[in-house]
Amino acid sequence: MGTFDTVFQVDESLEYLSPRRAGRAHMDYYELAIEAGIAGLILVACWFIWILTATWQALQKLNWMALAGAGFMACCAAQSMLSFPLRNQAMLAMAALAVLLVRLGLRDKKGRA
Amino acid sequence: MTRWLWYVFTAMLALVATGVELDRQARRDPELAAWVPAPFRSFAQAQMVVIRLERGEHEAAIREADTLVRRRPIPAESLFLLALAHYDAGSDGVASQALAISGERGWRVPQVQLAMIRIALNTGAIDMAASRLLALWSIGVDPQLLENSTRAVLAAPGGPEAFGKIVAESRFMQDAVLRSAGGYTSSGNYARMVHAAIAQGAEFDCAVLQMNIRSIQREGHKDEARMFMAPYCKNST
Repeated sequence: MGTFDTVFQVDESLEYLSPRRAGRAHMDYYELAIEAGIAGLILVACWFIWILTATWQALQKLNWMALAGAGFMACCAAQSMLSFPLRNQAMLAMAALAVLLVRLGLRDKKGRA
Repeated sequence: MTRWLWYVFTAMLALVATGVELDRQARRDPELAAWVPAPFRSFAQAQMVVIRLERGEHEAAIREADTLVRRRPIPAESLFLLALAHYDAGSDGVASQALAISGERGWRVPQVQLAMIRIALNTGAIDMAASRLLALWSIGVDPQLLENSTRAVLAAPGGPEAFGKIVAESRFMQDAVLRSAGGYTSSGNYARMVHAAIAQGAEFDCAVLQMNIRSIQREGHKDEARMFMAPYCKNST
């Protein structure tokens, strides 16, 4: 992880070369695929499945707390198409909070998931 | 039991994170490299090679460079350090191979570009020398280094024309080269370079161009000045 800049340099075009480095891919799924390969993509797929399942359950129960968390994560997933929101530490912490909201929201009153 | 397993897991995660962060920081603080535990050395490994080279420990430098290339095989820097270690140890064959491969790994390591310019000039591969020179201009290197390299390439046969052509393809460097390259070479070479760039479609700032043209004229090179002034800045005085 964290090797995008290095890998990108190998195919960087001389035409667009400048002192500024590419840094990030501005498409987090691409960057994850480059850095972590199939393993990274499988991990993302697992998160997608979890979020979709959780959203479906939240809709069934009409649990607003879980829906808020799921909505936040859906926004992060959408923004990751054009940027890298979860590579920002503050956003990562907020995403962790969103996971918690979904998890706690979907628990029944006895604390079972 | 589960709770203790969780504590152990988080403690191990913290250890790994500390090792990785120390390694990344070693890029900026080379003195940290020796403090990075061996399994975590990646960026720090490059510093370890440099330390061995500076101490003149040839065999150790090769060992460290081999480890570096195993851990970070893609960056040009890793292969360049491997080449340096082998040059120092006297094994020129391996060094040349490593240098050639590092030259194919992008444009951002100045030492690699300098080495490739030298090789290209020695072998007459002037287009390659021009490309590597443009890379030095583009990434921003020490001005003295840039001046020496520019002087060498533009003084070579066909150098001004080759550099002019490649500059025309750059999106960001045309004006910088136009403004500064004149100071690094003769008026004639500068004029030929600008002429080649214009012929290749470069779009220079006419005001800067005129300023340079006047400077060339003042030095008594009126013919060279006319070479590119007439077709490009048609409405200029």
